[in-house]
Amino acid sequence: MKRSRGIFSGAAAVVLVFLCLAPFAFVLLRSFLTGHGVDLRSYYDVFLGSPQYLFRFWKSLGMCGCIAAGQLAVSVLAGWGFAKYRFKGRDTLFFLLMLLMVLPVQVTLVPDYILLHDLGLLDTYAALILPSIFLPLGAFILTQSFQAVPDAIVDSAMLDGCGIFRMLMWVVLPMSKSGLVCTVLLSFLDGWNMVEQPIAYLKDFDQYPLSVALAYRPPADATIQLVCCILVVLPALSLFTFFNRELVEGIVLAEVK
Amino acid sequence: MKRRVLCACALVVWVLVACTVLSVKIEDLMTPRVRFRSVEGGTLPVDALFWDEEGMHLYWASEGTGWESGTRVREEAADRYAVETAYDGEIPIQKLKVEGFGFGAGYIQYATKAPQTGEKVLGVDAVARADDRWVLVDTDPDGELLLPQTWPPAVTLVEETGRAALVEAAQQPTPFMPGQAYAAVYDGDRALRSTLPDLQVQVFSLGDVTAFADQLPLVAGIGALAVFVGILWAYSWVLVRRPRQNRTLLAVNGGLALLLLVGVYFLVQGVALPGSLLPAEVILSPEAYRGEFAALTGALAQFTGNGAAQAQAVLSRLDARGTQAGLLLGSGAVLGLAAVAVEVFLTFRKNRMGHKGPSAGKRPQPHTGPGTGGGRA
Repeated sequence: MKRSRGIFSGAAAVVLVFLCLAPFAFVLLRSFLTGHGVDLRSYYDVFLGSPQYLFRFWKSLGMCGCIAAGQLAVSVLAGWGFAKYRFKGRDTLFFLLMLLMVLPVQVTLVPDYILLHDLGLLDTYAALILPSIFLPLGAFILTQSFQAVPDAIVDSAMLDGCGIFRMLMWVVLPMSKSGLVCTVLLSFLDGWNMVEQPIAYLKDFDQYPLSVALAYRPPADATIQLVCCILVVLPALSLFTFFNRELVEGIVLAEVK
Repeated sequence: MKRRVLCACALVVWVLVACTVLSVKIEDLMTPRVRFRSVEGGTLPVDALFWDEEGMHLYWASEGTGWESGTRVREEAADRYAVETAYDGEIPIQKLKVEGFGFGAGYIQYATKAPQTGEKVLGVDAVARADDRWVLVDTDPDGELLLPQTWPPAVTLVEETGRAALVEAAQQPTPFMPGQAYAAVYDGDRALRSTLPDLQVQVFSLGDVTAFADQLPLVAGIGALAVFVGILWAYSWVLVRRPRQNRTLLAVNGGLALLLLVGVYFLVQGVALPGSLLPAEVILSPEAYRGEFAALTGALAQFTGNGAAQAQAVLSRLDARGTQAGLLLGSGAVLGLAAVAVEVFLTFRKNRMGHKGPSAGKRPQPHTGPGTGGGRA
């Protein structure tokens, strides 16, 4: 009975892995396999033939880097406040933060548009970066992460003469590595996979990140799109492979808390 | 695992940055420089037609949007133009009757290389002029090169061999465009000038060929730097097994890779391959170069009279620069291997000194062995 259950679980896992990997394998194979055999022309077109794909890639990367850095800075301060300070309305504010987390992006699209218009930020990268910096997920994860830091350590650091920022930098943040990595990674991926916001806030096609601009390629260039897909996957794949342990720990920590 | 991923990512980033630098240059080199011609009286000269295996094409250009931003080549529909022949006495005069009048900048008459539909082009308005030498080659093995009865004053025949001719052209427009050169050669011969060009005749600019040859070592230099980095990376892949012990070498390799990237950038900026000798679609297509240079060198080798000295000079230059390019490419591999040898030697010496030093008696640890230190992989 136990053995047959194991076989069934194994088979189910294999099917699941296959279903997850099949689209990626399709993208990979179809990017260089054509009806005439192996053809690397699309790779040439994307990586060497024209700089527009790679320029867009670097621009998207820079934008996501700004989003991740900004969100980290905001989330560290917000998370520390929620985790270690007792103030009136803290729980209500934290509840509202969690509520914001479950709102789909389409709900905030119009209010954000009006706000960005009033600030004169439409058609600039700031229109994509600023709203993403203040997304609540990072603050939520880091609140959970900072709550795990014992108060005794914080108190002794204060007694030793640490100011709040010094203590955060040299005591708390090194102890919350997985939470930090998780925040950076998820905010980066959030920015990387952004689709609605660029279409809503930017008019100039040249400003579109690679993920959005890809949709505007003519259908005849399917193999170029597939090669671009591989280019798009590279940063996410690298980050996940590099930080997978921290990411899992960060998510688990947030769940446990 | 983590260090391996970091090592692989470092290579990917290096390659992507190098590709970005290269792609800017390749796009510039592969963008045909073109001269536009507007329709006059509903007609265009017949040399506005471009020919390939699929037949004749008439191109115009317009401003594109989105992914196709910039001045882009569009093909005129085949039913909107036709070649019409009229006779001036016994001389046939062919013209291209065009129904539309084109859009945007106008029809493309001449180009540094055959334009492709959707390709970006750059219009050349200003006419800079320079002296040049051209080689006309009939690529048909059974054909004979038909030369003009009357030569225009700016073009002088140096030598002809039946299937090839070497001419000197004074103060011709630059950049060199084969169609324009063909028109200039046959300008004095009304019958040949006014009819469809002989499709088997290819025109080469020896000025462009010389410039191309001179660029070969530079291009090989870029390849050499890439090979150097590849070898360094392969050794770093081994070193990364014990990152703590090899951190100095890894930092040195990383610094070298950055320096080489800067080197690639400066070398790429210096590349200026002439458009007339580049393949129509892919700059790295060896078949295209082989076909083109086989026709050219075959023709140059035929000159034994007045043009022999010039032809031999160009052939020797091609040979010399080709050899230099090969040596440079090889030197990239040699330098890479030498750098690795130096690093291996330094590691070995460090180990030996450590063995003789205060910790004598301890067995020296090979720094490239299977990872036992350096934290969790």
